[in-house]
Amino acid sequence: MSQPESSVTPFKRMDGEPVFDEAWQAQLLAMVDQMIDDGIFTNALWSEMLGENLKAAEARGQADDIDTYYAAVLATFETLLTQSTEVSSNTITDKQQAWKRAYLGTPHGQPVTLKE
Amino acid sequence: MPTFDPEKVSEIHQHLHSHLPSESALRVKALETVLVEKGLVNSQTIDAWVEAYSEEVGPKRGALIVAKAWCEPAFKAALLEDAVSAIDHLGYLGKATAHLKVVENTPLVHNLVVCTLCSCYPFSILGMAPNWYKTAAYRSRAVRDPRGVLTEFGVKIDNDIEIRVWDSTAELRYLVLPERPAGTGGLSEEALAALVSRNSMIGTDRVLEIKN
Repeated sequence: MSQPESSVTPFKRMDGEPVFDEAWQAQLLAMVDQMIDDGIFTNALWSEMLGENLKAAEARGQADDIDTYYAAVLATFETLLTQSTEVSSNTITDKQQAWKRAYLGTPHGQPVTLKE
Repeated sequence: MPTFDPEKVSEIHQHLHSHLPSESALRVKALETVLVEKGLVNSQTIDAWVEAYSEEVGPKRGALIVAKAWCEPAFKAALLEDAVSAIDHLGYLGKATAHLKVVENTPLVHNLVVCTLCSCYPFSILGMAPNWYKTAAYRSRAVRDPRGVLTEFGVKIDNDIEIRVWDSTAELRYLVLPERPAGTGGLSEEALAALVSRNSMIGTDRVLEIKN
């Protein structure tokens, strides 16, 4: 028999949640793992910077949840990527805008692709 | 005369854009596209990783290691001595999980694993870390108040049992070897592995139950 909602603690409640809420979270971790495997940045640097970003989010009073966690993962990945490769934030932003335009310009049901 | 209903307009707008991914999803899509263009990642590799970690790689690998240790004393001794060498031939270790230490529960010791800094976790043998493992609450309280944390998982540890908390790092991650449940002498390794919960290998579960 399941326990009443009120008696379930936050840890216990999170225990049954799927590890990925959305596909982009898995794709992001896949890229992080790939970069570490390829030596673009080290695991130690990754862990240190993610820790700093999580601490900063906590200091800002952000919710202690999975959205905050993945926002920190995304920010950490971008910082390490732009520091370790020739990829710039502007390039990423331009590509993000291009994808947005592609989604908005594609009718429902059709595959979304980048035109440029 | 045409009328303007802001609510209706908002509804139509929302419908038209309902297939637009979130800003985070678009950002990740952009990152992947840029990295593929630069030759830094391969889309097939990313897709294969996502598929593997979303479905195939779960705590099953860890459970098989635990069951093997329960059945083979020589393997258990090797595992506790040098986990990386002991499980190397099983093909489970990725580069990101290169360093692993196995800590054994006994009637008088309970082990609990945390990463106080971020979320270091032996994901190549346990799959992705559960969401609670990544919270600030778990990361801070597991060290400060392990008994309280365990109570919230429904695990009561008697006061005469010592709780050892292991703080994972990028270089060293931990796997708890739980105690083998009594009355499981006749079970195969595979049947034993089915009894091992993910949480028991992190330490937020202790007494494993025999399922019918």
